[in-house]
Amino acid sequence: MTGLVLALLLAATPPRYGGALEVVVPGEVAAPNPAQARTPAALTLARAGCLPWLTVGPGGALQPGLIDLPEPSGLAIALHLRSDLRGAGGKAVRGSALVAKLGALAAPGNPYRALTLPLRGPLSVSSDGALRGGLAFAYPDWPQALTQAATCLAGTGAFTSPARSGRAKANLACPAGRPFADTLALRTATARNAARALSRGEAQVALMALPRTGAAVTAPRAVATYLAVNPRRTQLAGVAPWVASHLDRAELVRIFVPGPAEPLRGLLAPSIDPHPESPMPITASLPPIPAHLTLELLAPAGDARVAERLQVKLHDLGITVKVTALSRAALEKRVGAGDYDAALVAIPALPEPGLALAQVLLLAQPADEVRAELAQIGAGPDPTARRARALSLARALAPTLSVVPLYAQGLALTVTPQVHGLRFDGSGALLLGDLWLEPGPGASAP
Amino acid sequence: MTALALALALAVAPAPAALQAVADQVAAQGVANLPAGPKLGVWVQASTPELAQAAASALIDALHARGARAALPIDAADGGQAETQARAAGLDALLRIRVGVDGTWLTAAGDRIGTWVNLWDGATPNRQGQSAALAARTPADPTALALARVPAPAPAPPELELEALFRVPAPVLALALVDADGDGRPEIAALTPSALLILRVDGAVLAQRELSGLPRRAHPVRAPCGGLVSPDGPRGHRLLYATASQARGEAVQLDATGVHSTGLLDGVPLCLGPQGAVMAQSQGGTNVFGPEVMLGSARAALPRPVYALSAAGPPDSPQGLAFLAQYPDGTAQLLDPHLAPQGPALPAGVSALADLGGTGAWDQVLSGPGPRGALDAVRVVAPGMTAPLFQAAVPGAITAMAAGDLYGTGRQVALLAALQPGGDTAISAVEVKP
Repeated sequence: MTGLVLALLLAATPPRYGGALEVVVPGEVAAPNPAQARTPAALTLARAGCLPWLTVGPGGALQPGLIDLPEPSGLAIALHLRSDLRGAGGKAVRGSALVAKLGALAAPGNPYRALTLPLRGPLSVSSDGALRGGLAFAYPDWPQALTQAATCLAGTGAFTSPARSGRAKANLACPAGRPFADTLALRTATARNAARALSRGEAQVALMALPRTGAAVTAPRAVATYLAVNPRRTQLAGVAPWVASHLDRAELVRIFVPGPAEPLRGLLAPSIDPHPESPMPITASLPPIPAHLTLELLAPAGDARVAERLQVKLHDLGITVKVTALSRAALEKRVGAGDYDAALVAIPALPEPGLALAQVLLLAQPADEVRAELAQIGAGPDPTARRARALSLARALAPTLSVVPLYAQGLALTVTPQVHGLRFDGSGALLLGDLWLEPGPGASAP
Repeated sequence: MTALALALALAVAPAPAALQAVADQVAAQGVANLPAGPKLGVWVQASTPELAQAAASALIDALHARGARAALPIDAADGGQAETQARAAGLDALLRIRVGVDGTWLTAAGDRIGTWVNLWDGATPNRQGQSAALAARTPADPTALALARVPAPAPAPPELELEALFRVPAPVLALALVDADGDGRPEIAALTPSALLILRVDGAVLAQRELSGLPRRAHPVRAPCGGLVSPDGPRGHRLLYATASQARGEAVQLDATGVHSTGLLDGVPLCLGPQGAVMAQSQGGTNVFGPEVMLGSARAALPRPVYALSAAGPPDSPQGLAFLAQYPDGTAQLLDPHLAPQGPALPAGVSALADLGGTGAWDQVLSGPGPRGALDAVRVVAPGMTAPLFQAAVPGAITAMAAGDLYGTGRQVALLAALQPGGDTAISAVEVKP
């Protein structure tokens, strides 16, 4: 299955139900709105409480989520809600809630806007309850992108939303089946306290890398961070190629990026394209940079160290940089409005190569141009050819864009040997509902 | 001091054992009329090898006591060979004795033949010396009785091997054998989370039935699980199946044209019991069934909830029916026909009962006891034993087992389904080496 990264840990016994899954997280204990989650840890916590429109089975095949598997039907879209769907508080889920969810992603600056590009217009709820609409051009892989956590609807996930104490209960009505654990307990801790909790058996999972404690798990690197330079500010045209050719990404990742990360060598996150050709070294034909250039770099508060490093690097090139720390929402709003010089933009990749590319292209190209490129990728019946077209277009466009790929991050994760069923969705989120605990010695049978 | 030693000897010296008594009588007759210090061979036959060895040893002791210069056991298949060997060994005479228990008597009878070789006879074989008939008996004691009745060692266990058959492009929840095309030979039925597959032994798909036509459960089960039973056995043409994610299961009839529904089921069929399929419901959206089950129309209860239940052979088999329950704590335990536990629970992930040797004895086929990454193991434990008869590593994780006479040889094979890291399933068989 293209673009879907799955880690399947086999177990020789059937998964075991029951027990409390204790998870230590580094930051605030909150299951954020999945559409606003921009880090692997936030995506993981969000995904525990909600279900995307479609899901991916252990073998990589699409499975029903909030909607049944769509039948291929050309340009027409007809999506049927699962009949037994219950949301937060046991209330029946209406199609209009899903339509609104998708509509919210279409806002300029939203990293998931690419998901709506193939649509001819907003979906509507027909009298039979189905979500209907049409594609503006053939794009057969569109349903794959509906597995992204951003399409999730709260209250439909494996666990109920955590109480103030950080405890969440198994959602018995989850359309993907109740989770294996009876409860999910989230708590914050420092790395030192997390390591102690894991070694004492007080927690089984830590969303942080704890060397010498439990087993470190390699998660898909699905959240990519770019330096986006405003393409409409012509005086900044030389900045992206200069940064691309002068920045030591490996050093940036090693010293300044927290958590498991790797240098991003192509436009697409490694979860989509694990082996991109390294970008062509640009040496002779770099455009000149005007003297005394000053620019404002928008950076999310959490990425201050990376922003400062870029500030130093750009200073070496003779560019004066003023770093402005913003919330991610405010940053995306300003990027969407075109009100920026340069910005550090984190994009959780859509699990489909063409649409993942479109997410990046939207930072540098007008939407209509990106639509035309998507139409070119989506044409043709052969899924392998479509994937190959998306990857080769990504390689061809990389040196021409005002976007510099910087690094890709995966979930930092440490688990005890008691934990089984580790599985990530296409967004790089760990599926907490799929984790099950091997009973320790002396544990009673259910 | 001498008195003390004598008193001790009198106090502890047992009455002469029956074997020694008989040996002494035979030895007395055996050395009679021979020159002093004869060199003798001893060849003993008996109902058990243990009695033959013990009698030969007792006879040699007795012969030494009666002045034999040499007394050697002769190991030969028959009397003629024994004579040849005794000649070759340069012995003077050979005692050929059969020892046995006759009612309450220990008896020994046979003869003594001369085996001295006269150099002047040259190549012409010639029996020298005086022969004698030998016979003795004495009341048998427990030692003699025990030696005469050592049970014959069990025949060597069959040599087993693991044979890879084919792959199925999906996880397999349950396996069964059924004659799908009416040719009298069983095919393999595999239940996946989305379909029922009927496959030939070479992996060719004969028929496929999607489960999407069945009503879906309001609360599906995250861990796909289900049951598949061939209610008429491997030569029947019917199947019962259900998964825990569907509200109803289905009964189907198979023929050369495909799979035909004959009705819907209310529970998940676990295995074939004495009154037909044993049915159960899964517990609260999990992969655990029971403990309440239906044995035909009768309600019954398992000792504990189970992941799966397998049954040994046809209900009318002379050995009687046995069940093997696979518990969520990673053990498997034999149950009697009334579902009462029998014997200890053995560590096992997935398990089945199979008559692999074709002897009517039901071996337990057990997968590795716990989660162990990308490599599982299968082991076969004979009835009443704990040490495995056979074990082998199985790539992947074993998810389902079934047993039946797949090749029409009168011997069952155990079919294994092992989930591979890529999401497909390798089907293999544990069977007797051809």
